Amino acid sequence: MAEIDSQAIIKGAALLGAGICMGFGAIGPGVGEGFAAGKACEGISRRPEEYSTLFRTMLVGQAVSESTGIYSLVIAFMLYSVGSA
Amino acid sequence: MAELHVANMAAYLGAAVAMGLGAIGSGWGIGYAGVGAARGMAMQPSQTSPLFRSMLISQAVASNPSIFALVIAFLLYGFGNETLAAPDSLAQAAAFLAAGISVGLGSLGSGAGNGLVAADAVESIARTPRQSSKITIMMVVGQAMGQTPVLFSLVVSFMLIYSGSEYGNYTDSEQFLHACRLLGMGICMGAGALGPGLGSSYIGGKFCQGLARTPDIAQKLNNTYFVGAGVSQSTAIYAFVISLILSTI
Repeated sequence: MAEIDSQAIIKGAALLGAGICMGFGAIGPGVGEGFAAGKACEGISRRPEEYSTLFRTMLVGQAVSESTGIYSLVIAFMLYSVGSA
Repeated sequence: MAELHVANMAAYLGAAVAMGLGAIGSGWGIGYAGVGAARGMAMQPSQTSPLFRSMLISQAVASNPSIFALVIAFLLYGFGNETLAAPDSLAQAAAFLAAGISVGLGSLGSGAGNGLVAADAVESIARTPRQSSKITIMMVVGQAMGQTPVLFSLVVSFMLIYSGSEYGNYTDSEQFLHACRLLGMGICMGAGALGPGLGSSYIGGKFCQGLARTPDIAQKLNNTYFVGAGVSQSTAIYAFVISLILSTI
């Protein structure tokens, strides 16, 4: 395995990085959004008359939590474009 | 130096990773379902037999992710024993290892998550025994929802296992490049399924508790549950997309 050229190392690292980036970037938002929605369900069952407020808050909270997942997606696409060039 | 069969070694290693991680998730989940049932029985000793039935159903469903891991582990074990076309191919080795990582991490999340749903649901059956059948159905729906990410992992694992037909013809540079790509694909889908598997299951448990507490607003809880779980799984879909893109180079 002595003749690996530098281009292959750079591209391989970029592709591996894209995978690690999106994989670990998906853990946090997945758990966080689930927690937000779970607590929203709990709140709605306690105070059904506040349904619309709770539902809106849940969606906004999830959207904010989603942002880090989208950052990971963007970075993964950028790394992919380096690796596939 | 004697010829090193890296691909066979990686197949055995991948089988170990898949089944080891998968067993952690489902083992914890099945145990946690029992915790919920024990709490419920302490609350309502008269409801022991319906609670026991629901617990067994939930445990049977919660063992599904580890069965996926078992299937992949058996396949990888078979490839380890086989005389492969390209036993010294680094890319083939990475594909086998990545297949194990993908389904292993995925079933870690979904298996543990299924336990969260089961514990909350079984406990809430003890609280409102007359809603028993409805809550049991929604518990299974919640567990199925929590298993969506591990299904993505399983698909990616199969793709990885059966991807290598021309790996033997690659030069050393290409071997390295493709090994990195395949490993990235497996880690991406495996870790990407872990978070959503846990998160979307947590919602299912709280949804079942809410149904038990206020059954008359089932429609509103349904909306919240399905929207919340759908959004929570979006990151698993991103990871799946990146894995598919990585598989196309």
